Amino acid sequence: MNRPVSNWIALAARGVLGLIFIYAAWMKLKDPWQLFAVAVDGYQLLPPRGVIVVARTLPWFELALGALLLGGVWLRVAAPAVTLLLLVFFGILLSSYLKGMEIDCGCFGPGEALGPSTLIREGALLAVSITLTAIATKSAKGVAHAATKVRNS
Amino acid sequence: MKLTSVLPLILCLLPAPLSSFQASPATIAASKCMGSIMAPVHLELYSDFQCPHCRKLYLETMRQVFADCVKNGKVYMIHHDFPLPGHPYAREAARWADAAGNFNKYEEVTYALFEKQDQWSPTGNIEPIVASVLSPTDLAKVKKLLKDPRVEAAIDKDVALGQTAQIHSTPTLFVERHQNRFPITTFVSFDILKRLIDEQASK
Repeated sequence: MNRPVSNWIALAARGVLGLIFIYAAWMKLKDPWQLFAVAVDGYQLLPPRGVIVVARTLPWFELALGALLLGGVWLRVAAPAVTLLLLVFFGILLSSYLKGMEIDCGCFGPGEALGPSTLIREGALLAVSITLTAIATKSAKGVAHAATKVRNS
Repeated sequence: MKLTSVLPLILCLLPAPLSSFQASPATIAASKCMGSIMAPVHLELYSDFQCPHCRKLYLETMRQVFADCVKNGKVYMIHHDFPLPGHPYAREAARWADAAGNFNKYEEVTYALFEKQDQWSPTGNIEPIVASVLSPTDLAKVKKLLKDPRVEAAIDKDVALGQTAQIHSTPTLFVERHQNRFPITTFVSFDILKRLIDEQASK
């Protein structure tokens, strides 16, 4: 891909994902963490201790990843981490939906029922994140390749 | 506080009628409330007797809430009927529970209806389930009230409250503390719900 074009795509992807992650974190952190724990518990995947750990840490993790993406810092780590996280979210959401679970998604705090629109949104975010990861990894490889060339010359 | 949230509290506080052979909306409403109204946290549960998720929430979580949080004065519990149109016998079950509520047997009948949901839900044969927890005398009294329009009105009132609260699915549980009102529209385990209750009660 043309370098300037991929830079613009990466910038847009970082902006979109960064803002969404920060917004998602804020919507969870503004309420008592126990309320997010209720949403996590609704998936019935974790024992109470696991639910509590996820409910207390995930919003802060989302906030940190959002800030890293927006700031363009540690992109080679942040972008794959966001992709991995979104992949886990998408897998859990899809499996819960296919099981017919009528639950609160918990994605942006309480009040959003899990449905097709949730899956479409998470799928789209995952696609954006995969693109960003590919660009970030490629540019890192490019930099590494150039450095090797310089050392060998 | 909104009128919709105050109304059930007022109904719960009204005195019971002298005659027990006539349905009294105040007595029925009172029978659906548990604990002290002065409790720091109020829980309002909208449920449908034929809904499997309501059954799970009631048997696995709410029973523990009653035994723990209501008993120790942390929670004031209000139960609302919210029979969904897709469940053909849910309103009939609510009728039985509310009629039993007129004789302060709402909780016993509710427990039986949820516990044995798989027995009556396919056929709508509710009477044997209710008979298993009431004395023959009480059962006869409850049966007399089934066609009382005031029992129907009690259900309609709950449904209207639910619609005002914009409930679309059951179970829906509201956790209330002062101005905070958190809706829970999914199954929640007792451990997690208790943490939310404790957090709200400590404020």
